[in-house]
Amino acid sequence: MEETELRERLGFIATRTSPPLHDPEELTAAVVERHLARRRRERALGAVAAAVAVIVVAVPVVVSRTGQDSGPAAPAPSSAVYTTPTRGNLSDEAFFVDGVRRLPWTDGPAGADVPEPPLDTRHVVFAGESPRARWVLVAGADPRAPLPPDDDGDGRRDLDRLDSVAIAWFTGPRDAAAEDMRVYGEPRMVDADEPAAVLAHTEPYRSSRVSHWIVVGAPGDQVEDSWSRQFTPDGEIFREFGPIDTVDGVASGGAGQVDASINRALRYRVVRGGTEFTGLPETEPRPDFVPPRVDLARLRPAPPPAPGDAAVASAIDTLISHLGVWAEIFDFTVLWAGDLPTASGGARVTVLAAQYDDWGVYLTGALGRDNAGQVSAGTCGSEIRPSDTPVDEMVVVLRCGSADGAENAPTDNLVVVAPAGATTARALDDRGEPIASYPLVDGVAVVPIPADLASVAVIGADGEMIDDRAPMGQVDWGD
Amino acid sequence: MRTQENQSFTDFVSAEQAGLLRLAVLLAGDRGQAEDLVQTALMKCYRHWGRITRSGPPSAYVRRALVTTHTSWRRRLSSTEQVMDTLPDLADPHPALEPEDEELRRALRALPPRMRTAIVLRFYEDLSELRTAELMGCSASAVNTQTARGLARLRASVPAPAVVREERW
Repeated sequence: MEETELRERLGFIATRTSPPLHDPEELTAAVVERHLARRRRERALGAVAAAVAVIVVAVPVVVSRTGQDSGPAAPAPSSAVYTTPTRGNLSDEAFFVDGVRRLPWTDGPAGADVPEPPLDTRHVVFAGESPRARWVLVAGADPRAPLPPDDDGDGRRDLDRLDSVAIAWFTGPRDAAAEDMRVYGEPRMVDADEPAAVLAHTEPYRSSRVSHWIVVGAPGDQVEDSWSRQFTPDGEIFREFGPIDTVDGVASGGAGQVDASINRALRYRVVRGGTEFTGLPETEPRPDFVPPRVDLARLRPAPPPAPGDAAVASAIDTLISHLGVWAEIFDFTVLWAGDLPTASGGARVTVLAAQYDDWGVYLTGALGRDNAGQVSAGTCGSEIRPSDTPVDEMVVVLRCGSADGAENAPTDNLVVVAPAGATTARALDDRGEPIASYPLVDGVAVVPIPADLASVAVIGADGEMIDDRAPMGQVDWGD
Repeated sequence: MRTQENQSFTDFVSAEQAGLLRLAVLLAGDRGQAEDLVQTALMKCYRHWGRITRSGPPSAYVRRALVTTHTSWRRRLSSTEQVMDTLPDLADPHPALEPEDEELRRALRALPPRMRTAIVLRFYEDLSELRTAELMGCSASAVNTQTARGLARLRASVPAPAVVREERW
């Protein structure tokens, strides 16, 4: 059976055996119903050590202690997240609370293209003060949809009639007046029973190394958090959740700050009766982020400095932001760094490995292009490998583009980095047949990528194959 | 009400439902699982629909959700699957298929889940090895291996049809 025939027959089978179509409106309704009824579950994989490099600090006093204690409680009505009377240790400051309720939503980082609710639909869900900042969560009706009625005649439209609401976080310094508060992150639409969370960088960043977060659910909810991802020795990515002190549906705390421009690692989970909701808090990039200083070990001599070296810091930032740890826990090793052939400017590739303890090894090809003085940073691929092979014995195969906009510039390069004793890189097609062969110099080859390349076999001086690798893809960080 | 997003979502469902169900029935192996797979993938995307549509055409994102949902289902069932060489063949021969295509359908269902996924993405969706690897969350070399082994198994168990098929759909 040829591949063309297989394609045709699979298409035929799919067409003839697929289920009958549903009415799009009915299918949408079914999806929405499932979405509302069954929250996505996320479970931690494995039971390895607790998150490293994360220091949980004292819970800031943003949560009013007059509320009920955490612990088992009856599931709250789904609408209670955004319609419960204002919670937080500033909830009694009526002038401040009403002032923030009236603030515009359009002066934040997202600009004017946000769902700013009509004033008579807005409700301050939470208002609290941490040791360094004030935080307020405001909810309201989607201005683009029909507004809810005011059945109870209190002059405010009834948010509990809605199945989705617009929300915005506001922040300001400690003791700030309402007019000194600003929109934090991006206002957005959420389901009426969906919790809200914010992750903020408290100042001074470098000296405190503390971030602050708040999760607002419905009264009775239990909040859990997961601050980091880790690798198993086999190279699998996993994370763990743990319950945190939750009062009146609100949880708040601080934790060790991540050495990254933005935290993509933190997740919170809200457990409500038999359902769970997992999410990523609203956050902003750190405005004055300074990349951490890291020591790079090198397997081969460093090339002369080039603007494209900046891609290394970007690659480390990507890794750290996804893992939620401190950069200093890792040993970083440059397997090789060199330049791709380009018609002008330059393209520097740095093959970098990051190792910590017995975790799997993170590998990436950091690509920095210098386009007339403007450096862009990217990656030719990334991968997590089991830790059982030493870094200096690994084979890395990358497909790196070096397009610089000039005509006739080579656009695709094959980069092979192998142990120093390897002699030959053999390009193979998808049937495993050799299509080209390249000598390795100090274990490295950079050549135009051959057509039909599927993988590269690396041969040692004894003629034995050391490894056979396809060009790297990209790490899927998962949820 | 998220009226605009709901309308956009319904429009997408209207345009893409058939394609998603076809992909799902090949991945899952039966109609019931295919329907649930599509609904689950759509449910996962619905929550972030605004963000998905703002970042570009949603079709690729939803397909990725469908594949990752399928493979995660398979992972959850893996303890069951480990004790069996093939999926239990519960389905009767499909009346709309000729015997040789029914044989291919059964052979496809009998492949291990990730091997089947690689075959379907490479030869039904016509994706590159790299793109398939991205969707499956593995390396392109793993896709290469799974595809080669899957093809060999299909070829060993399915004869070519005796006649060239006319266009039938």
